[in-house]
Amino acid sequence: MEVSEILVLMMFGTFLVFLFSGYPIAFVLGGVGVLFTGVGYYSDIYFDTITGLDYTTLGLIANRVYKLVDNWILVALPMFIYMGLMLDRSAIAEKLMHSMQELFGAVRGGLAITVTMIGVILAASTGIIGASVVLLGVLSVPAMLNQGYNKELAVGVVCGAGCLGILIPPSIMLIIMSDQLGLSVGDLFMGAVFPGLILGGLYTAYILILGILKPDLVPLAENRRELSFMMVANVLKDILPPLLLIISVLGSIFMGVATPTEASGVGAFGAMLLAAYNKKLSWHVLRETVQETLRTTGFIFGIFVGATCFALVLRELGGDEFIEGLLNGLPFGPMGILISILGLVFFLGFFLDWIEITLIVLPLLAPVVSGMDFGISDYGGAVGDAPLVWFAVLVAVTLQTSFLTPPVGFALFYLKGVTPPEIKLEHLYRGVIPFVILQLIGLTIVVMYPSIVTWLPSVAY
Amino acid sequence: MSSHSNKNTSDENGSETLAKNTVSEITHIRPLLRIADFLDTLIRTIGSWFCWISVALIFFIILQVILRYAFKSGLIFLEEIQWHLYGVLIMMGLSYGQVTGAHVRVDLVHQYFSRKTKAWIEIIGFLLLLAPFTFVLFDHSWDFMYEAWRLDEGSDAPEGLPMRWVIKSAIPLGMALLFVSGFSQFLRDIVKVTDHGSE
Repeated sequence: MEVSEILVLMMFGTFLVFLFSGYPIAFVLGGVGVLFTGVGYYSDIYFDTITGLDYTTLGLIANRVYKLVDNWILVALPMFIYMGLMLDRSAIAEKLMHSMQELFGAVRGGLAITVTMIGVILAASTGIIGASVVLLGVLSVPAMLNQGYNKELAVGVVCGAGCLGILIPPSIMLIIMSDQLGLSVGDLFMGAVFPGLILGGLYTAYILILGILKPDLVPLAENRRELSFMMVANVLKDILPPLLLIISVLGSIFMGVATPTEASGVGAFGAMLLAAYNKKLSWHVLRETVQETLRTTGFIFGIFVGATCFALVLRELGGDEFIEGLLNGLPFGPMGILISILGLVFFLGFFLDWIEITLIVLPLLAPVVSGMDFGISDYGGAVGDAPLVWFAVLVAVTLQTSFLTPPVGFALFYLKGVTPPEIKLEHLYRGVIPFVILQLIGLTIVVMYPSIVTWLPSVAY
Repeated sequence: MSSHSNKNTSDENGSETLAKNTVSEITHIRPLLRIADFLDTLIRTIGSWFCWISVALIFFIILQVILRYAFKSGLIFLEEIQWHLYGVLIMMGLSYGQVTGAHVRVDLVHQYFSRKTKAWIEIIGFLLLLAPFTFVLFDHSWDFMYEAWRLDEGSDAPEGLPMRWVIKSAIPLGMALLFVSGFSQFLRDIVKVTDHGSE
């Protein structure tokens, strides 16, 4: 093994050690980058390596960080964060929960289906996993338990539906992916629409089938009422404002009318209007939202800045060729390599947040994928770099699955924090298993039929 | 797992809870904590001003959208002001995130460590990782800004904003504040590991 390969492995090793020490990931990334600049410098002197790393090389980081600042696409990020946080406080979800619960009350599993649907709507409006899982959990878990739902099912539904947030556009993860991979935000957003809806559909089908096979798991409400026109009207009345917001934000991007940045600003403004419409907009709420936006933006960009440093040094040490060689050396065809990559992403998702994976791992893996032929049509050039769009969406689906997977799925811990104490971690662990399986089914479908991803971007504009 | 949810109840990294305990009990014998409190308040105050940038950003985006669609004329400087505001926002967010405990940690193992071990991790982390990183980036981005000032660099577009050094100064400023917020945490942890009475 060459010295430079040893250095790459050492760098990963050091990163892991500090990572598990519990020090903030952003600073671990940046700090390890700086440390290994020193290591590279001395190894050039003593071990005749040619990393070329020294203090001046690190100067490139200032440039790279400025590229983050001078980035018109990423402006959408704090705006979508703001929009999500504002919608969280706008009482939309509460209203929807209330009216949809009545509508679906007569169906077995109606409450769970309500949760799934609100999950999809929230996903499209907030795009922050932590926020949607917490909000859904607070709203629906007590209601489901009161109605005598099986505990595992109740928490499983919430985790499954809440995790759609990073997949269904406008997801901030997809924006970062498009920035990292040089893809169009619109293409990625559109590519993720059907996979997201397929997952939502799979959850709904599962709940309905469960209602038929094991009715005692999903009892009906005792005080349910006959379906009336008023109920439908109520649902429509409550669902219309958020739906309008989502359609106007996504629609304007998809139709090519507005840039993602414009759409995000309009979305943030629309969220304020919705909150005002629901009489939730106050000085206090506004201040809370802007502060929380700064916090969330701060931690995301902390990782951005740290990862910039880490990735730069790793590249100088020869990390790119190392990973590429490793993956291309695998004794499988393109599909086998792709599955290994998704497996790796799935595994990393156990202990890394999506931000680190998108910022560090994805740029390392993308060239390998770009170099392979999967026979994916780009519809005569209508989709720029169709295989990479497909790959990015696959990674997105995989990542949201790994958030659900015990022992350390992020969603499980968020939910544990806000559910009544009678819900134990075991309930969560057992509850998400069916949803993990459903997501793997969804993932398999998307792997086998790439046109699910690439078709929508090809017909838009 | 990670601790960036806004319903964060863990007091492991929230300097807020920490500050309350330590202030009430031992401030009078620990001047270090008073410095740390001062620095935290400073960062929080700066953050609570700069966080309003997001509202300004919404305003400018809406303004641009209206101009572009209603009057068919987008303005270059409006576009540039958007990423200028965003750039300041993200750089200021770093230190604000640090004092409010927003930065994500993997606490899979961390949660089982004792209070003292955790404090030691913060001390080592600051000295070995955060301090060198912020120093290097401050130093280089300072040169970067100075260069822009010396050359009187402006926008490439004729109607763009002048004085690129202003926005470039957001990077060294952000790094300096991040260092300060890390240093304040460092002081608190020094007190924690040298404090024999309160365990």
